[in-house]
Amino acid sequence: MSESSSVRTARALDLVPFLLEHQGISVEELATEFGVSTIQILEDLNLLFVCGLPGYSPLELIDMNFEDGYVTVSEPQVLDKPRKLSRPELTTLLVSLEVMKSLAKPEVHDELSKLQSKLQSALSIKPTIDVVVNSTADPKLEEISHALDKGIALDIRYLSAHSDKESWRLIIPNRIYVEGQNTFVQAWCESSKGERVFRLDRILELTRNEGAFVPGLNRELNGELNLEDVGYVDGFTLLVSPGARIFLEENAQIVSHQKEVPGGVEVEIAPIDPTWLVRTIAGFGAQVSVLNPPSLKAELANHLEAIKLLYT
Amino acid sequence: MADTKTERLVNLTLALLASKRFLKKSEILRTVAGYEGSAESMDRMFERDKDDLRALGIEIEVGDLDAFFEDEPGYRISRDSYSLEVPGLSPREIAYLSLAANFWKDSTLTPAAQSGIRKLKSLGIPAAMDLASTIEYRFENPKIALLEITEAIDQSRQLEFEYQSEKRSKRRLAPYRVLLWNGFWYLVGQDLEKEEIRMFKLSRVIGDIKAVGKKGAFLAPVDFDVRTVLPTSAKESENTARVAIRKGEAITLRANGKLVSEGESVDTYEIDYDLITPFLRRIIWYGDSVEIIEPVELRIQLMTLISGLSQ
Repeated sequence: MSESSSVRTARALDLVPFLLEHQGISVEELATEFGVSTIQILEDLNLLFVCGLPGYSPLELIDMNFEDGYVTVSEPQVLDKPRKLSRPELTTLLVSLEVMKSLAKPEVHDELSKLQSKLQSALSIKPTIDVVVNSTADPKLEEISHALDKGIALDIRYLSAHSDKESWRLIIPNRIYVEGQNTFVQAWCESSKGERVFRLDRILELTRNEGAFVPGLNRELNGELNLEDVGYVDGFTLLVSPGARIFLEENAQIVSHQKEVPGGVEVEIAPIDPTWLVRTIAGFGAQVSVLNPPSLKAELANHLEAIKLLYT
Repeated sequence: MADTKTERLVNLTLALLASKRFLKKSEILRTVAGYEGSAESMDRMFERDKDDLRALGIEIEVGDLDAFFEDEPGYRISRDSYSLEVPGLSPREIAYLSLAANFWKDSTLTPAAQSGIRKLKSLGIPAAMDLASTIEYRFENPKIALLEITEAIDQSRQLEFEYQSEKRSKRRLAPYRVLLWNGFWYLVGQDLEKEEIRMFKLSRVIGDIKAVGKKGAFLAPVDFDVRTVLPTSAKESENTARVAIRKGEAITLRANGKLVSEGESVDTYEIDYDLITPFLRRIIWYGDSVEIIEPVELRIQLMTLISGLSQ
């Protein structure tokens, strides 16, 4: 289906003021910026080329040049200013700032609040989306951000929830992210020779290790998280009943496939550590069961059996 | 054809924007490129075009007070209402906004974030280059059209949807806010049947959320603060359990408890908790490294849970 004339009109009106501030931009870049194909952008430019003010003499038309693949506007007519932000645009930007605020240092937090009120008062709108993040500021975070910026290695004493063990590890942080109520540090872990994810509140202690030489280090700063890098194991299929939806919600990141079946949802899941998976689903009783592999089923039965012995 | 129509809409916008005075309809139909056909069909065309531009958020002023026009209304678009002005926006703030707009990868909010930031980038304020965000925020991607919900909130229209909690049921709500809480999306408002303020997790909504009834159907509390309806995690836990932990094990649990006594093979700890089920899950996680001693009811509940008799 071709797009509506409204969508095209909006884009055409927005193109001219954008071009005025980005004179000489390539057609390809412009297309990317507006999220459409280069063919579409060229059609838009051709359309604008014949638009103008009543009279429509050469002096009254929008004038631009894009024959060499780079766009310049010499006569915008009255389209020299961007259009007012629409309500959806403003709402979205305000909530984006709200998200940023929830993660920011106090100084930045204030700057962002000022920016929000500036936008709100310029456009007289009241916010309809709230953002609440419960993760608390952790002094270790600053040290880790710094290490990430500078590529410094850290020695950390880490309490692993997956194995319930404490250990010292040498890491080089790659990225920090907040998910749910927790903050995580994804890092190259020299101690286990792989990418690992650490939960901030379980890092009990940390010191800079500026002399650390980590050979063969392959850091990809902006790449997407590659499941293999972090050492996830797949091949587990579970049946999750509706009462245990929270299990799926909390572990959405490691669920690779899911489909509705009688009695609930059948999911394929790729945990870092199968033992962690057994321990976790044990707490859901009959609401989560193992379909595959049999070894996991057996491990779960053993785990539960051991607990039963305590109470009988 | 869409192209001639787009061309006409652009030309109409330009003409109305360029004129300081109100333009008569007859004048518009005669001078703006693209109006063709019988008087009647041009009339219809013009009416539809006006609606289309208004739907894009462009305010078309109507002036019919001028005696000069007699009965014919005049039209124009004021530059003030058309253009974006954010006084005092700094390069640093533009940079923040660009960063913020990139939070929404492939979500229903992406298009609005992108078109919004493009307009801001057209203001001629260079973005500061030295800003980078080291912390990412990961959250559930909203599958529901959030902006339609916010529109209903703005217009005070009721919403109707089907919701999965213990069982599936139809809900009708006077919506107050959309909430992104710890990475999940919620809708907060007055449940019209239960007659109290409720939170709904958007991922548990089945199908679409529909706006129903008239605009202005309710009055949201002016100073509504969504934080007041959130379950507080900071509150003092009301319950305490006494557990026995094997020597050297369940280190993560020990870190959250209070040591009561040390024994030969086990240590006894007191641990505070809020809700029974999540607490039992936590204890079960440790297998036979941890045993609940007291209260006795909790022991029974744990047994029931793992025996698969609970539902």
